[in-house]
Order: sequence, then structure tokens, then C-alpha cells
Amino acid sequence: MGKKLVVFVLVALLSFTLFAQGQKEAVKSNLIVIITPSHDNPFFKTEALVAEETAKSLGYETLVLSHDDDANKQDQHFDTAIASNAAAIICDNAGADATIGAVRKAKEAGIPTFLIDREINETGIAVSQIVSNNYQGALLGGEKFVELMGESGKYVELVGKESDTNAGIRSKGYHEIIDQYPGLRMVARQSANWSQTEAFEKMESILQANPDIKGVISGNDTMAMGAMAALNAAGMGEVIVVGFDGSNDVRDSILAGDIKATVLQTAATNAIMAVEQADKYIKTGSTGLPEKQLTDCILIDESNAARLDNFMLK
Amino acid sequence: MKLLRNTCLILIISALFMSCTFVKHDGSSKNKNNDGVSFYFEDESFDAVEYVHDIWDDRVLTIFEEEAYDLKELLSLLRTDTETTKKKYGIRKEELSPYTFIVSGTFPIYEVNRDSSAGLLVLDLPDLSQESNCTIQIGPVIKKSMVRDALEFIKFDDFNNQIEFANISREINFYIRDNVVSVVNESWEPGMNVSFLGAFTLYDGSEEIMITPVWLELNNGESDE
Repeated sequence: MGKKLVVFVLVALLSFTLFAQGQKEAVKSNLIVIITPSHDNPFFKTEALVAEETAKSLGYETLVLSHDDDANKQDQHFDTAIASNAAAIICDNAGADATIGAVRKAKEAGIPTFLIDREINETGIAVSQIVSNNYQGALLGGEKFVELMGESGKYVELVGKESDTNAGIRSKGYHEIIDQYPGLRMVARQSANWSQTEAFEKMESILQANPDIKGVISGNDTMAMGAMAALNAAGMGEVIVVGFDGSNDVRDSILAGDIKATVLQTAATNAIMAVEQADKYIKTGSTGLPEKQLTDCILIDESNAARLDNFMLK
Repeated sequence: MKLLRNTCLILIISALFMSCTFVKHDGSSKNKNNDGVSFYFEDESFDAVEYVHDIWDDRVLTIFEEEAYDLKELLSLLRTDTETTKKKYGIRKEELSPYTFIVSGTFPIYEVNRDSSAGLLVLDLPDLSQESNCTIQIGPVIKKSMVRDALEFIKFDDFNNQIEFANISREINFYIRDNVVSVVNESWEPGMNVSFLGAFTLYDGSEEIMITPVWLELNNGESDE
């Protein structure tokens, strides 16, 4: 009985391996799988929607999935894409290190991956990595923050999710500018994991210890929204808040005189570029472009906020 | 039965491993800036200070000397046909980036502005329009990444991530602060002529010309003006 079971398991494993290998040879489907973080954040919702629209306009079928910043869930989505023999994967990934394995697995199965927004710490396995120039954007945000602060005063920094290089690079860009001004003093620096509610809660407790802050610089817009809400609730609406992303929420906040500035990442443009490159790669076997590509960010303040809509400046 | 148990055990262990995701520790806690702030993914595998010191004399200065356009001529070309001039004389590494130009010249100083830590020499170029101020960064804060962006051999594709690519610009700017703009002192006054070699990025919709210098000196001879 025991031996029979072992044989059964081995045969099952063997046939699965053969089946998986057989798939490699199979004709590619017409499916583009689009994987992003949760659509709760309008940034990810926009890039997923734009990627989907672009793919459909080029004649592809689409499957849109969210990994919710969980690398294991992302792994399952990559498995789904491999099992469906997808023509390409467009992915805003769940971690610069944790994603390497998934992209490699897809490559080995003959499925090209096109990364948008976030990069991974390895080259040569994804076909394209189209990343906003977060450093250039953070320098813009940092310079504007310094100007708004009048080059002096106490401030708080809210940092993004640790697994994302964008959290590191934005903080680094901010500090490269701000730290050169001796009059500016950071009194608290905490991660709110890109989350609005977490930023609200962290800001509330930071304000208890530091009721005299003059500014808050945030790694993204959702955290800036959370911080602004906490400041308004504490009757401190005059505190200078600067975000990063260029969402419609922050646009409205700037126009209402609350948040002072943000940095627009051209999420929609990047998503279009990724799908167009995927299309070219599927048809010709090459994108004709370097793997790693940067797109510049644009400073948004009261002077141009009205022209901003769905991550595009009109 | 024993065989079955062992096989099952192996299968379970393999399954466990297969479902795990191994996350490399980035070791960022060891790497802090002067204020004790550490950044995710920052590590010591790439030494930007050494990189910049290695390229400065032989590559940066050589390329700037060989490829610099006369500022006055370039500005006049930009005025007559902006798009063609940008494409012909500008450098950009990405399709949607603004163009950066390598320039040289000698002009009178109109003002030495130290109101901000990002100090500026305002140049006296009378035939420029009022809006298009022409300045040279004199620090101590050096803004933007113009010098890195003017050097075509420094490609994002050659580096592990944005952090390394960013570190190059930071170190170039620090190098300029410590070795280039450090020549500017109280004796520099309006009316004196300054010679320079540098780069500026022309942003869409802006006429501002802010040059980041790689070489700078007072000049007693004639100016380009």
C-alpha cells in the first residue's frame, strides 16, 4: 500500500515536470497579465487601468491582479501567468529583493516581464524596468520643502515601505538637499508603510511630543494625506506638508490650501511605455531599448496643480 | 512504511522550502549619513566617492573641455530655433528627459548672491530677456544632477539600482562644492569677469539657465560680452 502511494506521488511529480516543460514549447497566448499593489492607492489603480486599456487597444486580452505588497501572493500571480502561458507580464512589484525569484521563474518559462514604478535589485532577468526618476523627483520635493520652510525650522519625515527601493531613494533625495541646511532640524522620522491611516496615527503621536513642528515631508501622497488630516485635527493646518506621487487627492488638497506641494510621477505614461514595449518585444523579440529606463518627475504646487489629472499634467 | 514516511518527510520539507521567499537583508542599519539617518538598500558594495575621484580629471574634465559649446552662441541658437538646437547640441539619456548642455564662456559678474545656501553668481548678459536669468551655482548647496546627466558614459543601466546612480550625482556635487566653487571668495565682486566650464539642464517651459560649473576662475582679460 505504502509503496503504491510512493510510486503514485513520483509519477505525479514526473508528469507535472514533463507537463511544465511541454508548456514552454506551446504557442503563446494573447494574454497580458498586469500585477500591481492594491488599487486602494489611486497611483496603482491608475497604472493598472492605463496598462489594461493600452493592452486592449493593441488587441490583447488582459488579467489584472493585485499582490497587496505580499511577495508570496505575487509569486502565486506569477504562477497563474505561467500556467496561462501569458504573452507578457506587466508588474509593479512587491519587493526589490523578493521579486527576483518570480521574474526569473517567468523568464525560464519563456514569459517576459516588464517592470513599472519599482525596480528590482538585479538586471538581466526582466526585459524592461521603467522606473520614475525618484531621485530627481525627491531632489525637486526637497528643494521645494526647503524653500517653503524658509531654510529653517523643525520638521518630521514620513518614510515608505522598507521593501521598496523607492522608499529609500526618496528619503535619500530629500536628505541630500535638506541636510545641507543647518537651520533645518528633523525631530522625528518614522515609516508609515505608504499608508494613509498609519500616517494619521503616527502623526498624531508625533505631534504629542513635538507640538512645535513647522513642516512634514512625506515619501508619498497617501501618507501626506494622513499627516495633513492629523495636523488639521490638531488645529495645525498651517504646517507645511509636501508629498510625492501627484494624486488627484493631493491636487485637491493643494488647491484648497492644505498640502503645499507634491512630485508627479508619470504613472500613466510609464504604464503605456511598458505595454508598448511588451507589444514590440512579443512581435520582434526586442524592445530596442535599455532594460533600465528612468522617467523624470515634475514638481506640482499651487501654480500648476489645476492642470493635474489622473497622474498626467494637461 | 518507513520508506513512505521518509518520502513524505522529504516532500513536506521540500514543499516548505518551495513556499518560502528568501529575503536578503539589506544591512542598511550599518550605513548612516552624518545625521545618523540610514536608508533602505544603501550598502557599501559601490563606492561613489572613489568612482567620482577616478573619473574627474581624465574623463569629466576632458569631456567638458572637448565638448563645450560657447554659451553666448548656444543661447542665441536656442532663441532662434529651440527644438532643433536642443536635439543638435543637447544630451539626454532617456527619451522623455529634458536636455542638458555642456558650455563654456567668460562674462562679467552682475551679482554674487549668497542669500540662500544654494548661492549663485548672476552673470551679466545684457541681450538676454528679463525672464531668462543666467546664473552659475557657487554652493555650498549644489542643486540638481546636471553634471552627471551631461556625461553620457554614466548610464543608469550600468548600476544596480537608483541608489547607486543617485550616489554618483551626490558625490559629483560634493566634489564640486569642495574643489570647484571653493575658489569663490569675498574678493569676487560685480563687474569682474568670470570664466567657466559647466553644464545646465533646460527644463520644459522654463527659460532659466543655471549652470553647474566643473571649473571656474576670475579672468582679467576680455569677456564674451
